Amino acid sequence: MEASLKVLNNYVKVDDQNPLELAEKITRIGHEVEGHHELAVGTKLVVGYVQECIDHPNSDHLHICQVEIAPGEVTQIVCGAPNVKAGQKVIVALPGCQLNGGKISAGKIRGEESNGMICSIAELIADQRLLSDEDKAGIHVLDEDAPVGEEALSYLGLDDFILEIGLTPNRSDCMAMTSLAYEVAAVLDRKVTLPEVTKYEEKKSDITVDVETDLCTFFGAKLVKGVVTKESPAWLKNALLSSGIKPINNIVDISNFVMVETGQPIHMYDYDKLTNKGFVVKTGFTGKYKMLDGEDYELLAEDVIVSTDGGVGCIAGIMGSDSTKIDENTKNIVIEAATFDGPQLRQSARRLNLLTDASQHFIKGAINTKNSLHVLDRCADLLKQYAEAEDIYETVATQYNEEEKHVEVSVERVNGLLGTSFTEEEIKNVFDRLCFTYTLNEGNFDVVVPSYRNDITMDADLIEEVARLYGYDNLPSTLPEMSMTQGLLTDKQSKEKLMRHMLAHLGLHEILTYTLTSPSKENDFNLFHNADDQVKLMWPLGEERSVTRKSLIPHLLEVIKYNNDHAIKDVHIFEIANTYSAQEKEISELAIAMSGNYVDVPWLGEKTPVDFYVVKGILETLFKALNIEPSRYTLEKVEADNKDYHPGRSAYIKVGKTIVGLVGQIHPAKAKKYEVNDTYVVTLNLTAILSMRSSKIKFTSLPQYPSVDRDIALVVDKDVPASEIERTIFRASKILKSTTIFDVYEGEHVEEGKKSVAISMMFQDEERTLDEKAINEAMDKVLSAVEKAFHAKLRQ
Amino acid sequence: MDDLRKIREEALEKINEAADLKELNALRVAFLGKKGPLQKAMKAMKDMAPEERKSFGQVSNKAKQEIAKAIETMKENLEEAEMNARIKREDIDVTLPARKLPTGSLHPITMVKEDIEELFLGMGYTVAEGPEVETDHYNFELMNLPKGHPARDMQDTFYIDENTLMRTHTSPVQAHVLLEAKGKGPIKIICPGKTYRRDDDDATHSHQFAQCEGLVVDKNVTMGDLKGTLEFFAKRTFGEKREIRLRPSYFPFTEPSVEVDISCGNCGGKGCAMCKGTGWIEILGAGMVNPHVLEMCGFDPKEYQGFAFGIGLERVAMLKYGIDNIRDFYNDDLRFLNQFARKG
Repeated sequence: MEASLKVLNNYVKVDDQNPLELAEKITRIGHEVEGHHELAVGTKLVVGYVQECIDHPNSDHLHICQVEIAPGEVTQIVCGAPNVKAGQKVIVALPGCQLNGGKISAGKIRGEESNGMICSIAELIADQRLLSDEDKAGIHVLDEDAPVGEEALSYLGLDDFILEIGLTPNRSDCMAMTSLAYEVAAVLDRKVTLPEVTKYEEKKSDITVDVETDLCTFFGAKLVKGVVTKESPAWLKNALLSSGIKPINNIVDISNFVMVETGQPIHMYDYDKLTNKGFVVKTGFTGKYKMLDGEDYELLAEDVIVSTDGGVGCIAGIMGSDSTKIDENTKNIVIEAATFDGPQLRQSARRLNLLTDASQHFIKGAINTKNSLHVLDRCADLLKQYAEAEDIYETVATQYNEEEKHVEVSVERVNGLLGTSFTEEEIKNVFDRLCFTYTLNEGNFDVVVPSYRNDITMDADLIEEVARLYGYDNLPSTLPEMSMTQGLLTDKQSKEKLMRHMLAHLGLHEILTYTLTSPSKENDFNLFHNADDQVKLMWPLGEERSVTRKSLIPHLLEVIKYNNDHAIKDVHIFEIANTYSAQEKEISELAIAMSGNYVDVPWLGEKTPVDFYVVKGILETLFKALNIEPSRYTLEKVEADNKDYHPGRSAYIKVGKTIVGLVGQIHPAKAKKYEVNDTYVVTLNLTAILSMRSSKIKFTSLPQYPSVDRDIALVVDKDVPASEIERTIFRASKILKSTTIFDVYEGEHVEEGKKSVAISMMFQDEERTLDEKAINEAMDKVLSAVEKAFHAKLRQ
Repeated sequence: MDDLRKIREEALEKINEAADLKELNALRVAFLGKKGPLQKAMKAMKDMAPEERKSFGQVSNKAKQEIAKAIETMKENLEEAEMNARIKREDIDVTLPARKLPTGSLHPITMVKEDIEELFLGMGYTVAEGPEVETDHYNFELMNLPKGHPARDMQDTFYIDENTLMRTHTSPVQAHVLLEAKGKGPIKIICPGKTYRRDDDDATHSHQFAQCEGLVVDKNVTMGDLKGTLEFFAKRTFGEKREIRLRPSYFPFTEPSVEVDISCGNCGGKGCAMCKGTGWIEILGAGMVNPHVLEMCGFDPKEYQGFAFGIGLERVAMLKYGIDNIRDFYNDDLRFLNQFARKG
């Protein structure tokens, strides 16, 4: 909101304050002054008198004026305004004056000397939206009695400083300048002076009001007859300009000014356009209605309407209808001051795209209903003073009985919550400065909350008043004294942390990508969620980010592409994030994607391109660190028709029958879709994996007796998985401690459709040194086991 | 005896002339081996008189020892020479590029998150987590933002349906933790996590961002404790010289509420372009837990009170590392990420 210091000064004295220091003080009590500006700019502006005005000999529109710029001091100014005439009092910008459009300097215009510029209002005020056509058309002509040589902005009352305040939602009441005045008064420790309202003799009114919806808690109407529409006085126009509102005429300006002053939006109806002089607040109107801006608006049944003559008189708090609006011929006015429901009004205003200044007051719940009757009197008084109103009628209003609101707080509670040691006196001082009334009984304050302070409902609210006015700089700085708590990560958290660090140490970069994705990628690489289970936003910012992702891989591939596009070919990345579906909820996933070379030392000619066995190695290293033994999981090739992953080079990671992850290469078709090279990935369902019980570390004593190594080469069918052979061998003998595959061969000397797998085995007995006999027995067991399982033959 | 002397002299001479270890070894075999001249000479001892045998034995032993010692010395010399030759041969250019081991990095947001976690774990906090797809009830209502509250404007929230949304802050985790505690303190948690707002992405806005919520609830937790805690956080995160200041503000879930500014690290508080001339930079929002929130989450506000704060992790990372575009965090350019492959 824009707060004019001139307007504010009507209610609390601030004209002796440095505006920037005042702004800082206001910020420090919770109303952040986000910016400030002067209503009009211009330093060397004076009131001048045009003594003589002749046409410029070398121009068809310029004039040469002799202007008195100080008593007895006359200078020549060339002026292009069509309305400049001798005998006018005008605003003169002297050389050196800085205006919105630039700096004024003395010089020659088409051969004639010119020592300044005669100004229009448009040249002084930056916000052109606030200006009338007249202001923009030509120079501004001052009253005849304007004193020559006087500083023009102060003469015009445009020397105003405006604070741009970002009000917090709880203090929307400060949209009313009187409410803001209480804040400023509290911080400066000054008194608030509210305007005096003259109460006139009132006539009995024939209007009626009725409310048929609980979306309106108060409706008051006041008839004023015999008004005259004309231009507003300067102070009123300036007050509106400073508040960011364009002056129209005295009637409209008064209603706007009253809203600025009191925070109560005012609506006015032309009394003579009403047949029945009745106002009914209700809902249930549907269809198109023409409003006072001449546009048609489609109403819905829930919109709150002030109905007149059975039709729509006004969309409550938003805009009046065309048929009841006041115009320059209006003589008799019905002034409305009401309180409408914020949430409903917000919905209506948003839908109709009519979020007006007035509607914001209702939406933000800033109305001080208790003051509404007084506001109507203030309007009537101003209409009497500035619109020659003849007759004032009694206000007609619905019942409004709000009890005085009391909130209690004790000195002990204040200090208990803040950690301070305020005395009763200090707290009293804060409440006094805020003009709160209270009774005090043995350290307990019973505070009567002023009706404009909708935000105060409990003791914590009063404690905040003490804290903010006393200043948070004065708060002690302590650490909580409380019973011991253990600062520990959970098992899942510490494992996740371990994984991140481990992967970073293995040469992968952790990345962070968006949760929201496009439906076109939603099901790519999806392993753990149902394909048609979609979590879709109601109002996304665009198709590209309209659903939640079910796999992290698509965004990882996009990062690979992004880096490839920036000439980075070796991209090894991972992310730990959640994937979503309505049924599975959130699954924490780890995804790894690697592309290019894992190791590359050009001058040595050493290269390790990423392949399946690199990512498998990373997977096994991770599992080892997590203490998930190889016996806990199996790798199982993906389906032959898998569309996401390369069927020949990808395997599900299974625990029992459950798929908990995948290791492999992305399908070449998907690589094409995402415009990346061969990319190898790992996906793990961490929700499942990290909830597995990890085996405890148990120490076994070191072997006492030597081990013996034996190598064999077995010929088996090509599709026998190596791990199956190892597993079979391992189970065959108790003294077999480990196996290592050291060669796999297909081709010459090996039968078509077969392969030779060379395995090194290590035998060891904890009890004794192995002799030849024991080893041969074990070898026999191994050979017969693989023979039985795979028809394996020893390679000759 | 003369033979012995002769053998000894010949041996010593040849040993000294040995060119390499192989030759030296041959000499050792030749002179000290079973078939060597000394052994041969000693065979004659058995025919000698005891007197003579004794002195012959002494001389021959001495000769043997001297030869052995000479071989040993020569061996060391030759070995050393060989070592030196090898060292010379093996000279390399140490300035050639290393056989680089793969080096990865943690994302800067993770680094900031872990720093914060470490700091608060040390003070006895635990790390709580909650769902990112959240209900309206937890995200708004339990945070004292009833339906129709201006602060929950539709524009700002990604709704999935009327009652489900992408959480707009990490505050709902507070509600989960409080409700689980069933009205019994103390509670001392931080909740880092992803949050979402319906904002168009630009240099300073991101529709997805990370927050870290903090919540302490017990019987005597004060606002002074909040100030002290945040001061500790600010100094540990940004440096001992940084100061904080609390400004009154408003959040529906805290009362009193404050915005917390940190003194500008760029100008030291004097005022510069970075802090828009104020000397202060806004870093987080905080306050005393609103009694309504405590009550709705099963805690008796007459018995319990506490503080809460919400830190923007991107904001902390941007200030800490001097990053000026929030989109950098989500582009994942390796040239960006590589700068965080070390302890910050």
